[in-house]
Amino acid sequence: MGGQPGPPDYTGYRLQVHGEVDQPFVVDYAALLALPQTELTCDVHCVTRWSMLNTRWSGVRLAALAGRAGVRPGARWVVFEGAHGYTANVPLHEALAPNVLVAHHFGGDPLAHGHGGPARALVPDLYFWKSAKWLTGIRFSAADEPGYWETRGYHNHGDPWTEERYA
Amino acid sequence: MPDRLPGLPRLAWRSLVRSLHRDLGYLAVGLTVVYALSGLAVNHVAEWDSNFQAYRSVRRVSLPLPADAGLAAAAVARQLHFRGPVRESYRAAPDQLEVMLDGVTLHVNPVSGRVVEEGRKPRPFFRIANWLHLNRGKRAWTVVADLYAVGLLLLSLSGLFMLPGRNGIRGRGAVLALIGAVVPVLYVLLSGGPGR
Repeated sequence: MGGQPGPPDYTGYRLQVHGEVDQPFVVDYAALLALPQTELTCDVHCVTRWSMLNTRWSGVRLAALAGRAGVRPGARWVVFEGAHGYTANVPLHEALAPNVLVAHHFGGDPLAHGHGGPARALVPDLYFWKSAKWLTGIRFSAADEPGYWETRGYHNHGDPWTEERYA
Repeated sequence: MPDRLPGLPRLAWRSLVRSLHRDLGYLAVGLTVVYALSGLAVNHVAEWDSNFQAYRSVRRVSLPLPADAGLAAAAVARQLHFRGPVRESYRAAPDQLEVMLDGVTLHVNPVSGRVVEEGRKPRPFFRIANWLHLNRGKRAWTVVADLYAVGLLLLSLSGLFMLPGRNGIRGRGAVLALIGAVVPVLYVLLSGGPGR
């Protein structure tokens, strides 16, 4: 459910942090790895009814990227931008949770391309389609912008514990 | 439909219909297998990549590797017996060198010598079947696919009139054809159909 894969390109990889921020910036893959890292063990849940428990991830906290960018007071939403126009929207306060990462390692190894490498969003508290693979951008927005699956009949929020699967 | 039209010799039209159905059926077997299997695969595209099979394996290389990323990448490819050229090499971190070859990415730890190889191998039948089925811009195949579609239409219509009596359209045929037609209609009605 992740949309069309992006290229397995580490040299040309860029992650853009932009939108309702004072200091938008772009990082390449090496720069992403050089930022303060977080290791996280969490469960992930897909809307297609599978779960993986105790998955191990490494990445950069979204909150840290948001802090560097200087999110403006009017921002209310985060739009994760993946390859080929895939997007997923998350409320800002949930995106800034300490367990939301830009993840680049899984199980101790670089994130496999099929699972979203070089880097993907990781939003463990929502259905996994919100954790956009082949992440190319993080856009802070004042308005809600329902993403790829949200505009195709899936729930705008996506809480697995209350089974918010469909619109 | 009468077997004899006024003023014309007796026409064995039902026999003709059966012959048409039979011969179209034989012609359609190959493409129907291709389209049906491809259709099954594409229908589950969200769960399964029918075109490629991803793989991952852990390997080791001897150390030390050259400090230069390009030379290190070439050394890794040589040690692991990859014949193709290294497309890109990228030192992401002191313990992470990315080496990209055709269809394969090697995640190399130059400190430990551990290499995670990930790649994908094509599933030949499905790759070809999907390529035919999804037909993006192949003009000649568009003609073939259109002819096949017309053939299927003739197959389904001829099937309605092949058999006389209780086994034909006046009997069980009507019931089954109606059920078959009602299923998609009901689904659209009950699901609300496509959005605006």
